[in-house]
Amino acid sequence: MDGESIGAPNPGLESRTKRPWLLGFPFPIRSAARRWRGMLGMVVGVGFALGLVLTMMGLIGTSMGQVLGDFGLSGANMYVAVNGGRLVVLKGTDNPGTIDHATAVLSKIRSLPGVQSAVGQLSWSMKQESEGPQARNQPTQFIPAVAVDGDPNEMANRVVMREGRWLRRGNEVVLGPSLSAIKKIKVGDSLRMNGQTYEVVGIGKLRGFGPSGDSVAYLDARALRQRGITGDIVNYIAVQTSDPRAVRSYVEDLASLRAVSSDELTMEITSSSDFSSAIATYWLIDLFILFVAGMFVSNMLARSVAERRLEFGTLRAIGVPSRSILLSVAAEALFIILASYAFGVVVSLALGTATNAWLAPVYGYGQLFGVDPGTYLAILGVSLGMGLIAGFLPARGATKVDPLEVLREA
Amino acid sequence: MLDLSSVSRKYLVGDSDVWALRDATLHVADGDFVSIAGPSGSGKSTLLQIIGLLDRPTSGTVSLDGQDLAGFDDEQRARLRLATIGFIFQRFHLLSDMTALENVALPMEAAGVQADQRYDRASLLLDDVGLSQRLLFMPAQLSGGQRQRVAIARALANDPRLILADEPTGELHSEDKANIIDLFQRLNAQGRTVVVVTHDPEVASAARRRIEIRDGFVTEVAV
Repeated sequence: MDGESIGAPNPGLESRTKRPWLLGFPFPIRSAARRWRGMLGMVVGVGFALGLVLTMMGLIGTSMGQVLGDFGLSGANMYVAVNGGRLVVLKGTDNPGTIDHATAVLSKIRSLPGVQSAVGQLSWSMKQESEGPQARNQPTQFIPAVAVDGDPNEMANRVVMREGRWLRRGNEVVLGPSLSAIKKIKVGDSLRMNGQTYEVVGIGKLRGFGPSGDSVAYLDARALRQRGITGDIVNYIAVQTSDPRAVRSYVEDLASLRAVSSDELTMEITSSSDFSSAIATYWLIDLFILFVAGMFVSNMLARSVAERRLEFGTLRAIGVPSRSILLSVAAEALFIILASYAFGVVVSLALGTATNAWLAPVYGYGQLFGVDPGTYLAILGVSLGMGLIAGFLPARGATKVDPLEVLREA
Repeated sequence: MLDLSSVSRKYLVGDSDVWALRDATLHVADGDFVSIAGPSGSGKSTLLQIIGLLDRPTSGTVSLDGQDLAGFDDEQRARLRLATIGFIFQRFHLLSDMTALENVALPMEAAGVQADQRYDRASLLLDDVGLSQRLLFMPAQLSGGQRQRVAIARALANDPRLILADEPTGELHSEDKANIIDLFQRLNAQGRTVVVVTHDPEVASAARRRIEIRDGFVTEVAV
């Protein structure tokens, strides 16, 4: 206070002032950035919610992809089933249907021009028994089984063995990796089912069998037929052929059967109402989680606005337009969402990596979780929308603060 | 510059009307230094809030440079405050999470002044009020007198023609008070119009015009 004119230029002063980098940003961003400590709890809470959503989508996307991708990887390029039967069983009520006189149909298909291999498969259930005399009142355990007619090793990429080998004899069994892990049965062990002891010769699965391929026991269909355990039926026949038209032509003559390519099968699965409703259900769960997170953000912002009434009142009193105040709250909402999303991505990657490292091997999968950039971007978009909606009411409330009232209270 | 004509303001307290201002007529010319004094509850702050476009009269007209402000909405009034009026509050009302420099630069930012220009001017203003060594201090790190000087620098940010101060020395020690009175006199000497609400005779006596207000009635006291 030197008596000179107030606000007159003072060239020496500017060079003494080192401006913090944050001051280069507009007020709403600076205001939001400064309040990061207060937002930390919110970011962690919402971040975990987003992390769960992203993890769930990563798990769903991967398992769906595996089901569909499995068909693509399998060497079979045609599938024969009964009309109206569901080739891929997605839920308990799905009925794959049965092809009667399976031996004859398989034999005919194998003799068609261009056919390299044809394998029939029948889903069945075997009663597990313990060795030696059966105890009274012993609970009955059933093992989901697949009777395989033909040698799937003749078909490229049809068999995925993790250990041991595929079936050669009628008293052998190959266990799906998940079933093996759950039942704690290894290669070399024996397994008694329906009065017969089977030797476990391998842990593996057949590709193109839908989501349950990892949790079944694979048995020789002909041996089961001979013992009268199953009839001369299969649910469907996987065919590897260089002449799909010959297979279609034969199947069309049989009227009761239908033939689809692996691409048509994938299309059939993805366009089915069950598939769509499964996806819709997961999205609904995700949206519900996001809605709860949004309500949380909205309530916390409303509380923050209530705590900052004096600040907003002062800003209005000195003439700061309501738009700047609105933007400062909106920026806070945006900041919370972006930081929460970043935290959520870290959470989902951590959970996904842990799932792939520990859970996937237990269930016999290479991986259960995968990152789909499209899904991650979609969740980011939905989260930003949620943040804007969540921030709207508190932001509008901030602009309605009456400076007169606030200054009178202060 | 500013004209109040037959301005009255009543508040509803419970079921009864309380008149804070009654038929007040006042002309503030460019370059005036006006003090408004009166006991607590006499209507001083209400008068200042109406002059500062924060409140609207129940009846009567308020005009700035001959323009009746009755039809102005809240945003228009805010713009007018930003460009024309500098507010100084008894309790400073600095934004606690901003440095002195940023507090002073904020009204310029709202007025659309570029970052380099506004921080340079904020530095100058803080230098002028004797705080060049406190630019990056937070309000909590400053004394009451220093905070009020930051508030004065903020009020001057957009080079307003009218400075309105509500009990600006109410929370200050005597030495700080003398500095603030000196600042107001300097600002007025530079041609700015200063209106100060105070119950402090020392501050009131520094003004060139003295208004007294009692029970909502405004009277000018000869100096």
